Amino acid sequence: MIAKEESITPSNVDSSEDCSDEFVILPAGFEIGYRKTGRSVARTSETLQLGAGHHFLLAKNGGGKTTLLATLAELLPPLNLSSTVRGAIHYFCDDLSFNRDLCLSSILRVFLPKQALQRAFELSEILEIPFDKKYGALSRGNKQKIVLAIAETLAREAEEGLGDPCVLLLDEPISGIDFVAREIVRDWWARPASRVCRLVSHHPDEPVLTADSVVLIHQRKIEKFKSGSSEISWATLRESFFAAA
Amino acid sequence: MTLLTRLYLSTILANKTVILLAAGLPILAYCLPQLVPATLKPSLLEPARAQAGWILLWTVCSGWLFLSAASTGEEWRRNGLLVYAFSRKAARFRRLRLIGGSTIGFSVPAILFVFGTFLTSVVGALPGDQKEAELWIILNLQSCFLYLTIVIPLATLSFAVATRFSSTVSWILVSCHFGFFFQGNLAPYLVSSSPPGQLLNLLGPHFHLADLTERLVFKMGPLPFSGFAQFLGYFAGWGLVTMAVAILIFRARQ
Repeated sequence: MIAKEESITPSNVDSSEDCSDEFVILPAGFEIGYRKTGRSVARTSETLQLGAGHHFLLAKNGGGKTTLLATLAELLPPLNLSSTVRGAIHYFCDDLSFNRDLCLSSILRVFLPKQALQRAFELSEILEIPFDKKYGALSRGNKQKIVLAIAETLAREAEEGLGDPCVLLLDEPISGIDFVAREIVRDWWARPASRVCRLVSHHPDEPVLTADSVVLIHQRKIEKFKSGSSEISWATLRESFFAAA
Repeated sequence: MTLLTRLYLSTILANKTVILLAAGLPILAYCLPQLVPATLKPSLLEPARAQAGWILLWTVCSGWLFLSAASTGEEWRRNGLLVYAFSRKAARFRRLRLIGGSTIGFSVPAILFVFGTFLTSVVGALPGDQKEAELWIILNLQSCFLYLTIVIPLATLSFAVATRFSSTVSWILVSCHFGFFFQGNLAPYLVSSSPPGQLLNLLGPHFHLADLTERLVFKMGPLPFSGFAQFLGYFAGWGLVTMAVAILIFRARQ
C-alpha cells in the first residue's frame, strides 16, 4: 500500500516501439468527445498504455469516463488520433440489463460459450445470485452481479487460454452490490492476469483499492497514475486528485 | 448463432407468446370457419380453413411479429445490449452483422408460423384428387416463400426504426406501410388519383401480389413458375432495399 506521504506521479511511459504487452494504447494528443457537436471532453498529454491487469478509471460526474470507454469500444469515434486495443473488447455499460422474463441460466447461456457455463454457474453461486428468480424479480445488486459473473467468466476463460485475450470495459459495475460481494469481486480482480485487461470505472468508496494503475480524467486531461505496489490508497489518490485540480 | 439471435429466441421463449401463437394459429384456423355460414355448405369448409389460416398468418405478422421486433429494438437499445453486442464486433460491417443476427432471430418465429399455417392448409384442406392435391401443395409453398420474403425484412425494419425512435412509432410506421400496400383494392384508387398517388402506386411495394388466398379459396392452382419467380425476385429486391434502410437507420447507442 502506498503511504499517504508518498507522491503518485503520472507514469513515465516507455515510448519505445515494442508495445506488444500493452492491451490499450492511447497516443499523446488523443482526444475524446463528440464529433457531431465538436465538443472535446478530454485528451492525453502523453502516450498512455494499459497492460494486462486491473486498472481504475476515475473522474467526476460528467468527466468523461463513459465517453472514454465508449471510444475504446469504438462506439464513438475519437476526435483526432486513433487508439489501439489488442484483444476482444467487451463493453459492459452501466445500465446493461436484460429482459425481465429471462432467468439467470438463460442469460448465461446467451452470453457465454457452452464450455464456460459450468464456471459461470460456480461464480454466480459464489456471488449468491438466486437461480430460480426471473431477472425482473431480482434486486438491483443481484442484477449487477450477473454482469460481474459474465465478465469474470470471460476473463478466466481468456486467462486459461480457452478464449481470446480480452479487454473488459466495465462502467461502474459494483455501485449497487453489497459489501460481501464487493470483497469477493475485489479478490477476483486482484488475481494476476496476463491475457486480460480490465478498465473499471467507478466511484472509489473503498478504503483500499487494488489496481495496477489508475486512469484519471480531470480538467479535460487523461492521465495514468501508477505505483510499484498493487494497492493504492484512496486517501492518497484523493490527494493527488485534488492536487491535479 | 449470434448473440442477438440467441437473445431474441431466449426472450420470446421465456415470455411464451410465440408458443401460444404457434399453437393458436392452427387451432383458430380450424375453429373459425365453423362459426361462419361455410358450415351450410360443407364443401366450402376446407377452403375456408385455408383462407382463415392465411388471413390469420398475415394478421399475426403485422400484429405480433412487427411489434415484437419493435419492442425488442427499443428494449435492447435502452438496456445497453446493443452497445455490448456492437463493442464485440470488429468495426467493419458491424451494423450489417448485427442486423443480420437480429434478422435470423425474427425469421425463426416467422418460419414457425408459416410452417404451422402450411400444415393446417395441407392437412385440413387437401383436395381428394391427387393432381389437385399436388397443385394445392405447390400453391401453399409459393405462399410460404412470398410471405417470408416480405415479412422478415419488414420485421428487421421495425427493429431498426425502434432503435432510433420508439417501439410505438416503429410499429405504427411499419404496420401502416405494410397494410397500405397489402390492400390490393387501393391500387385502382391510386392509379386514378392525382400524380403523387400514381407515383406512389408505381414506386410502392405491391405487397398485395403476395397474397394468394384467393387462388386458394377458388382453387385456381399455383402461379406459373416464371410468374412466381418474377414475384419472388420483385419482393426479394424490395427486401434488400428494406434491409439497406434498416442498416442506415439502426443505432446502438442511446
